[in-house]
This record gives sequence, C-alpha cells and structure tokens, in this order.
Amino acid sequence: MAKVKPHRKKPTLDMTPVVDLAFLLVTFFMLTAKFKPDEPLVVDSPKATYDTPVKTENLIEVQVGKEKQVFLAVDNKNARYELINKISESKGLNLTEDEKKAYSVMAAVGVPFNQLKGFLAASPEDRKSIKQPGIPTDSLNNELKEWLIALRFMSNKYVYAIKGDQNADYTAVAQVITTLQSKELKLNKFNLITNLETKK
Amino acid sequence: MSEVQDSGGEKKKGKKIRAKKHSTHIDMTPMVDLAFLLLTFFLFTTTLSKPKAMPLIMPDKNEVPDPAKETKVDDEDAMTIILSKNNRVFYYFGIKEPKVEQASFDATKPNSLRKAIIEKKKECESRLKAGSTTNERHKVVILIKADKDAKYKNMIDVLDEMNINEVPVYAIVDITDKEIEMISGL
Repeated sequence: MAKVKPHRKKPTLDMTPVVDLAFLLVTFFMLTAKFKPDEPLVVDSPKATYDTPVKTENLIEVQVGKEKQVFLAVDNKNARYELINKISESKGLNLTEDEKKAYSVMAAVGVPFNQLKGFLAASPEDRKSIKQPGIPTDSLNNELKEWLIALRFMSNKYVYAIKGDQNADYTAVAQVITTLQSKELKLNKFNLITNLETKK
Repeated sequence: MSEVQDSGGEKKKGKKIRAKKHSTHIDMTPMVDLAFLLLTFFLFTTTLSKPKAMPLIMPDKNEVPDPAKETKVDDEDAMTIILSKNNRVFYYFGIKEPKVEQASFDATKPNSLRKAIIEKKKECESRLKAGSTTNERHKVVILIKADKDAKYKNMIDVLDEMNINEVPVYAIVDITDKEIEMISGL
C-alpha cells in the first residue's frame, strides 16, 4: 500500500493587512510630522502644571539659555525675511539678498548687530560651528528691544513668549520681561513656555 | 521555457497544453520591512511633547499711578515669597512686622510652601466669613520677589504653586534692600 503523504504546504502568512496597517501609520506620521528645526540654543524648559498648548502660529519666542544668552525665534519664514529687511535698513547693515535669505531659514538667532553680517555671510556649515553669543539685553545696549520694535511695527497679530532654561538666572529672564514692558513695546501680556508635569 | 513546451507538445499530441499556473502571491516581506523602517523614522522624528504655555500678565509699569484705582493690600492679607540662591525660598506674612521663615518646594515636607499658602488662604477666608475685614473683596495677596541669585526654575515653581492653590491675586515685584538684608542672615 502506498504511503499517504501529507500534502506539504508552505507555512505562508498573508501579509497584506500588516502592510496596510504599516502604511496607514506611515502616512499618518508623515502628514502629522512637523520637523524639529535645527535649534542653535538648547533650552530645557521648566516643568509646570499648566496645560494650555502654545499656538505656534505667529509666535515670537525669546529664548533664554543656561548662560543667559538671549535668542530670538520668529515662527514664520516670511516674517523673518521682512524682519531682517527692516533691521538691515534701520541699522545700516547692508545685507545682501543671500544673507537675508540665510536669516529667513534659521529658526533662532542670537547674534549682536555688529556680528550679524559676518555671521550670515558664512556658509551654513560654518554657521553651525560659530558659537552665538546672544542678543544684548542690558539697559545701555538693548538690541532685543530694537528687534522687537521692528516686529511690533510689522504686525499686531504676534503672540510673545519667553522660553527660559530652568537653570538660567532669573535676572536674565527679568531683563527680558523689563524689555517687553518698556514704554516702546508695552507688552504686558505674554506666555512663559513650560513642559507639562503631572499634578503633584 | 517556451521552446521546451513546444517540443513537449509535439510528443504528447491530443493533450491540451495548459499554461503553468503560477500562484499570484508576492513576497511582501521587503515591503513590510520598508514600511516599518519609515514608520520608526517618523515615530522618532515627531515631537510628541508639545510645549505648554503659562500665561503671565504683568502690571503696566508705564501707567501713571492713580491713587483712586490702586488696590490697597491689607496688612493681614499679604504674603511675600522671596526666592534666593540654591533653590531656597522664604516667606513672611504681613508688611508691618515681618517674620521671615524658610520654606521648601517639596510639597511632602512639613515646611512646604504649599502648606503655608493653603493655611494663609484659609485664614483669609475665615476672616472674610467672620466679617472682620471691611472690604469684602479681600483675599490673600501674594507678592513674589526674586533676588539676583534666584533661578528661573524657582520662579516657575512659585507661579505654578499659584495655579495649583488657586491664588486669586499675585504679582511679581522687585525685591527691596530691606528684604535682601532680612534673608542674608538666614
């Protein structure tokens, strides 16, 4: 009698649903992803229980780093271009079109006016290696105020926020607040950016 | 392949030549690999923790003070919090005879700042109920002051305490020389 051979079947698995799911997730993450811009200043924001999300549209962020360096981050690319155009004109920096474009693609900049032209003229790779000293905010030479005044003249729709590092001295932040409240700017309402902490 | 089939067809005449049926299955493994690779990439690059905002409204410094509009703080309603270096925090009640005490940010400690705020709040509320204050609006008013060595984190912590304990009126005020002197010995 012939032996009954069991019919050998390859143990295949139908992968179609897996692929469907995977691609669905890929599409979801691709569409929702907002890439982190290359931030020159690492800010470790303090934790708090406030849970109102920041509206990133038209957000003007004044960043205060660990070593008291102040950086200015303007959300919109067009706004950045308009801003650098104004600053170049008012401070007589004579920036070229390329240098203005270079500014408009950067997320946050913390360079005093006298170093701005040289900084923007450098190649993107070189720029990364340059340590930005921060925008001066002291009362004798308050360049942050001039940046903010230029922004204030551009539009009224901006929302101002301070993003301070938790290890920064409060005096550095207080200087920024004083600048915001100065009589030229009169910004008495602003946001402090924090990270969410679970309620204690 | 076709040649082989042709020669085979000549030998076995009469039999129908059937094209060999291939299964329609495709090996999906590389595709899945790619899909998951992309998935992991986007998972890692998306920023999940979106920053939160703490709204802060500061009193207008440029406004000319108008004595009629100014809110007067009763001595017994006031509480002052002073921030200093090494994460130290002090507080005192009233204005006339301040007795400075050190507190802790840790809510589990017996000398926590939160406990002091809650107690002061209760005290003010009970006084309001008893009707000993003339002004009905009066509730606890907290003044926050930071000296030059205070860290930004401490300021956020204190502002957060205001949110947690629902303090109705609080303000960030500049520190006075007298207060610097008061905490210098502690």
